[in-house]
Amino acid sequence: MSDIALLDVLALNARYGDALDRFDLATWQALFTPAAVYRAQARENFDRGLPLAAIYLDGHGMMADRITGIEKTLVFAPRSTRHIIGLPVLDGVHARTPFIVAQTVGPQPPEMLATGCYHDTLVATTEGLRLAARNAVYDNALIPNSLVYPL
Amino acid sequence: MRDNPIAQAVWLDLSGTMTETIPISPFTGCGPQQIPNRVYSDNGLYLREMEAFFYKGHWCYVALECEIPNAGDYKATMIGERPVIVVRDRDGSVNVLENRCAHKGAKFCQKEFGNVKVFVCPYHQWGYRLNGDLAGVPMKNGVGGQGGMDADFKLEEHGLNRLKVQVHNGIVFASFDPNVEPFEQFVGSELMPFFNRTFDGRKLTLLGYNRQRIRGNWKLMQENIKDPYHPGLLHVFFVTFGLWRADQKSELRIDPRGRHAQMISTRNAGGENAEVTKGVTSFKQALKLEDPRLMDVVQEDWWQGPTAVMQTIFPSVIIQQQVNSLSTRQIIPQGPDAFDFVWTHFGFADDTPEMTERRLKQANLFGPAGLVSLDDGEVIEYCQQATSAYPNGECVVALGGNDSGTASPHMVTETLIRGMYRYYREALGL
Repeated sequence: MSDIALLDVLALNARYGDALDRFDLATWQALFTPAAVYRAQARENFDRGLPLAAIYLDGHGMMADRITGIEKTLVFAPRSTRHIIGLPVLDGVHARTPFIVAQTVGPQPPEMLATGCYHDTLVATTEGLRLAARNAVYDNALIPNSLVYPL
Repeated sequence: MRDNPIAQAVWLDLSGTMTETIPISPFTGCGPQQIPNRVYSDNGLYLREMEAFFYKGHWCYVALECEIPNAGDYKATMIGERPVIVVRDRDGSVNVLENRCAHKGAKFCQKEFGNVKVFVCPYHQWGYRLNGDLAGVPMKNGVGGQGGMDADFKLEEHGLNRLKVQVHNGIVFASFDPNVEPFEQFVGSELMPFFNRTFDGRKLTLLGYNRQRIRGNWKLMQENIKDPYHPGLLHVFFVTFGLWRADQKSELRIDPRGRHAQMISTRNAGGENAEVTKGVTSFKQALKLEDPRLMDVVQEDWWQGPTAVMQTIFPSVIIQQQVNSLSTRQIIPQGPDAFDFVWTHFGFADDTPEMTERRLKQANLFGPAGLVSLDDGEVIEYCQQATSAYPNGECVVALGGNDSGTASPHMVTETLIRGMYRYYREALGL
């Protein structure tokens, strides 16, 4: 187990937020290893050991299905998001990183979509640092209506 | 589209020059097919709904028993706008108490879940037993011979208000109304068989929660699950993957008063069927899942046929079985323009790890992020945005006839919504 460089984690998270905020979901998916698990889970479930997640994608195939859903089948009002990702605390191949995601829906004023913490497992690949697992644990159990894009 | 000239005139008259309260109805001139937009935004009607539906004459959903398995386990929740606590007593029974200190009215329990021996209000430390009885109050007999409560102050007169409770095979309902009808009569003999199909006494397991605030009137969610017209049109994901189509074997049930309903259906193979997909612009023939594990449906014996049963128990809850995904969806109104929607996903104690995993993966379809349910929250907000802006307008629910709520052997009808408003008008005297 080699140590992960802080700068590489910062760069990964910067690309992650940038990809989501540009709705470049293929790039978002490519930041995960093919077998990675992505979850967006309410903190009340995480803290109590309850397994339910609002989004639970096990590998690139399910991520691709989520992307298809967002781009082709889901009905939702136009919106933009902004990921503000804080500094990670590294522990071997694991990281905890605080985030907030603001959103603007249609002509309405901006609002907070979620605040929380990424719980990550990181892996160095030949293509660079990748996420082997990310659980976006959000503090606000209550979502303002819809969670369309991943956190 | 039409505005309702009669109701509009009466309403303007009422809000303008008249000072006495007279019985007028926004439904004036409306038949079973018309719903006045005002029911979605008028605060006066909203307050009457809270009183008539959430606080009187109805059983409201509060919990699953598996959320509070041990003595002292509690869950704080809401009935309408009122905070209550659901707690497991030492003898194993379930009590539902007002979360309102008898002293100063503090909502004393601020944690949503926990375990206690007694409830203590932090303000002046009045302590309550798990059945709501007041166990003691500090300084009751004064301090150093000074002060204290009067001699006629009786602890037994100052307990927490305790609601009527019905635990039915693992699901818990409560009522503020001591005269509420028996639970099985409330649900109705037409609906009890499918209600008991899910809740047949098997032990349930808690998988977790999703919560969302939908900025729409709470009744729009009841209507959404009484509306078999929309799933095959709005929910492209459903259509494409064969989870819900207008040509599948189906049945609608409704209780005689029009309050509660069940949409019962059996899945077919998916793909194109000329009659139901022709002209449906939302149909995307080419879509297929990259990872079929997302919808790895496995037949369960207890289904006894139908692959989906969606139940509305008026006013407070929706009970979902969509293939292997099970949840209760509690409706917590937040004024006329919004409600909180709390999803509690569950399984059964004898589920294999594979079945639990399947339920968790299929949960991707539901909740605030759901590949299907997300659509519903969005369109409910769309409805709220325009109905509230045009309060004199009307909605029309004409699909399937002019009846006011009957059982149906097919899904091409809005009869369940007509039934709900038949009941609504009767209950509120409109």
